[in-house]
Amino acid sequence: MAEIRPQVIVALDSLYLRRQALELGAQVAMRQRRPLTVLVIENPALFHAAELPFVQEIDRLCGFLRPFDLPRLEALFQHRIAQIHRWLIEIETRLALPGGLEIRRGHYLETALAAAQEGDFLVFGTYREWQTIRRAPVWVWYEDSPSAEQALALGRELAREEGCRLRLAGPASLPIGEFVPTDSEGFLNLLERQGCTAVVCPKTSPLAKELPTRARCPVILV
Amino acid sequence: MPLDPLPPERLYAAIDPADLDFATTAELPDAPLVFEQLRAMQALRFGIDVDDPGFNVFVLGPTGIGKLTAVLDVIGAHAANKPVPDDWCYVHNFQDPVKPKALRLPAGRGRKLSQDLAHLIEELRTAIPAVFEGEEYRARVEELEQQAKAREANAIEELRREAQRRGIALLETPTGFAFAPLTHDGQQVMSPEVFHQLPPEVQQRIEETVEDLQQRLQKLLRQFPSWRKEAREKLRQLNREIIQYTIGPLIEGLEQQYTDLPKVLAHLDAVRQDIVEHVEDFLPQPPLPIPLPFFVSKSEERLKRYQINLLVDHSDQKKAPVIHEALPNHANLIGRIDYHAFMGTLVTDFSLIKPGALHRANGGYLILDARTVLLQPHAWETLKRTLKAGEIRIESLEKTLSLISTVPLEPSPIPLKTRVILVGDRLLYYLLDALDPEFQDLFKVAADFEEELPRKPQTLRLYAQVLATLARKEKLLPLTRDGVARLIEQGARELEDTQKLNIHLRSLTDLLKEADYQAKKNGRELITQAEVQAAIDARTFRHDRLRAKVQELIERDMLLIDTTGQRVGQINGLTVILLGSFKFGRPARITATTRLGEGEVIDIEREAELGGAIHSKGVMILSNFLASRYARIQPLSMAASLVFEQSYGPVEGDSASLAELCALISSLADLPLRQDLAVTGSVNQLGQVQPIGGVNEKIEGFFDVCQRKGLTGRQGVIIPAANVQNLMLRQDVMVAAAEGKFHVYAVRTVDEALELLLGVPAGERGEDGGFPPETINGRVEHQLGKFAELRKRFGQREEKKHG
Repeated sequence: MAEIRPQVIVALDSLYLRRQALELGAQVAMRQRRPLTVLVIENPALFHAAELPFVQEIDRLCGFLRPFDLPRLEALFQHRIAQIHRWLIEIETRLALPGGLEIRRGHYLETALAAAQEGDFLVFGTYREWQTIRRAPVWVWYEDSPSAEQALALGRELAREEGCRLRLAGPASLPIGEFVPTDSEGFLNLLERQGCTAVVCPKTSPLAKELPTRARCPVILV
Repeated sequence: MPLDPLPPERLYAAIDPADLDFATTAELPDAPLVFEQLRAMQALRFGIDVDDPGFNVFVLGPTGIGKLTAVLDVIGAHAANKPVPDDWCYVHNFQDPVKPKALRLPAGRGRKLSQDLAHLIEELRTAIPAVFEGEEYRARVEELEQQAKAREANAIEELRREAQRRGIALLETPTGFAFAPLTHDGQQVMSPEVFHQLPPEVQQRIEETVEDLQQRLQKLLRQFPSWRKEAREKLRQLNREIIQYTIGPLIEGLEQQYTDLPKVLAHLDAVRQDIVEHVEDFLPQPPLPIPLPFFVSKSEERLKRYQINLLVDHSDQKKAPVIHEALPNHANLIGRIDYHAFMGTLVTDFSLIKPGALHRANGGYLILDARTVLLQPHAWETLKRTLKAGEIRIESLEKTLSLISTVPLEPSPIPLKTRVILVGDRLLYYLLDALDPEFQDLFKVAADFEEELPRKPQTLRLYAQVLATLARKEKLLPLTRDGVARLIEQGARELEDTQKLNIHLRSLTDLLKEADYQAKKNGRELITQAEVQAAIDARTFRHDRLRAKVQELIERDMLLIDTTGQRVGQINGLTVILLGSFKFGRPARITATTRLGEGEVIDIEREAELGGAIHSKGVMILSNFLASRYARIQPLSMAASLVFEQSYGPVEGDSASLAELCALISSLADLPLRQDLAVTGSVNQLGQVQPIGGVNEKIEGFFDVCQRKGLTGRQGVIIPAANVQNLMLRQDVMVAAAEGKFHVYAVRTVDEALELLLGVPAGERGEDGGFPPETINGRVEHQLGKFAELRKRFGQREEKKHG
């Protein structure tokens, strides 16, 4: 039976083109010598809505009404997927990194979590607004879990590569580097205030379900 | 009784060196080069002291007499007691950049303000970026941004929740939003199949709800631009507050130093407001994608507007300014606005305003050469206009003459309070006075410089001191007292006046330099009379070519001049030829013919249009003399003609009218004139002989001819008695006169001249009203009587013929 190697899965929402998350995931895959898979998740609700004749699209910039139909929606998504595919090819060439592209339809978080096997690193790039604070630290959520050390190791590596500080947070106070004892909500507020270059968190942590939508930077679940 | 010739000592007013109480000028102290000009100096001092603006001064007199030197000395001393005037600068006008404002500051504070502002800008270049790059500012900006985004997000979220409550999902699409019905459990969007299975009224209700929500979302999205505008305004307000906080203490510190200058304070306030509005100019600019050489960014250009253009800086001055502008053209007088080329266009700003001489002299004195001002295009008009207006308005000549239609800059005018001193010659002064109606309004003071001084013992020593000063100033050898004496004599010759000292500094200096050269060439350490004479001779020789030529022509009888014998109606007149600064005398044969006529005296020079007006006047005067003496009770029945033989150029002046009259009388009296005498003099209607010019050259001219042809001991020149005081003849003439080989006679009346020339008494009118018949006058009277008789006879015959 062929050994299934742990991979790095970069889960992208089809609505947002987040190249930074893709780059981060590629760098992690290259350093960890893992294959890279880009998982593009499409929201089925949009397709349902597009099939209803009375549903119209309201333009974000000017508020104009436009017909919202399936062919148009599919064309838009095709265009985005093609763009992601081009990025992937460029990364593969540049980093000599094999990679794959997969498209699924479903709820973003659940679909991404379902796609990850044990041992896979899952990189989320669904943040709405990218927060650019120079030299924002790499955060690691450290709690009592089997992959805590792995998260810490990955966080260290990321901080070194990005040239920024490594900060740790968790429910318990631990004498490890710059450790901030805090709860989940407190940690999310901390990220908001101080910014983050990336957040590394164990997949099994309850925070794993909130980080991808609340953090304004790539989130890596290990 | 014919007159005796003048004794030799009357032919030259020598200076006895023994009357000078020094051996050499090295002993003498310095003296002001311009001295004893009481009239001019009093006028000049008055003009520079009086306060009224119309009392500018025109210093007039011949060139080279030291007018400018005197003006600079007097004004320099006067200005030392006058206060240093204010500094002037131009600053950027934030309300109207085309019209820079002028600021006035006490002397020295202009430079201080310039330095203070430059320092302020440098400090702000550091302080402002530091504030905007600081963490606190970023945090505040982010807070505002988050608030703005949260406002939008919350509004969307609120609408999403309401939609949810109404069973509708708000979805994000690739380019906006869409509303779609939810399933009953509210967890997911209803599929089309499920929707179409709903009762029509439910479908209808869902569609209406979706439409309502769409409209509300549209309305909400249309509010976002104004919310964003509010957010931007908050950010701007934040920036303004931060800037005010940053620059406030710096500018307030500056303002403390200028509390006594309200306009400076107003400007600093304007600077403060402008910095607040344009703070981005202080922030680092991104580099150009393609660097351009010499490129200055727009923000760097804009920062210049906070500096000042210090136009006039008196910080180093201790007295009122005295400015001598050597090139008083339009721009140099009132200033100019420069341009520089930028990307193919010409640009300018207040920093490129340059001051003129009037700016620099404001509060002081401005000295200009009148001729140079008049020769510069439009400079005279500019000067007058500025003086009349009492303010300096900088405007290019092209704009003044409407040659360009663009409006570059219009700097605000600067009030003017200066005294202008024009230096020029007398002709210019009187021309301006006659032809320019504004001249007397603006230049009410005339400082009239003499070119000569009376020769008195007290002025002689002072004059020697001036020569000593000149020699030292020009680094020349000192003079012995006989050298000084010779210079004084030469000056009298040049002035044609033995009673005067020549104070034409330039000609004195030139002669001194030539004498110095002669002395040094001969290895001497002092300039003596010999060197001065050598210099005079060398100069004469340099200019002498034409005179030598004329003398040669006379000697070779190419120009006919008799120096012996007698002739009726022919006389040696004397002329002077002017060649620049050199003049020489030249004898000229004058002939006269007389015949029966009706009283006309034909001046052939005038008929040939070679005679000038004064010459013609002289001929008319002598013809009226004839009429008044000989034709009081009978018609003057003669026709006469006069001509300068072998003269083919213009003739002017009346100095030959005595000679012409003598020639006429010789012809009428049929008495020959001595050809060994030459005559010069002007005659009036009463027969009085009047003085003429160039008497020395005229005498020497005839002497040279006689000498070349051979002196007989009888030759000489008849001159007006009034010209004796002008005699400074050459040494060789003096020697010949002393040896009795040449003579100079001074006459007061035409009769005295006639007796010398004709050797017959002139005669006086007797009790019968007639002249004795054997006298000159008697013979003339007799001849004219015959003419009158003949004319009467011819007249009767004509009447009978036509009767």
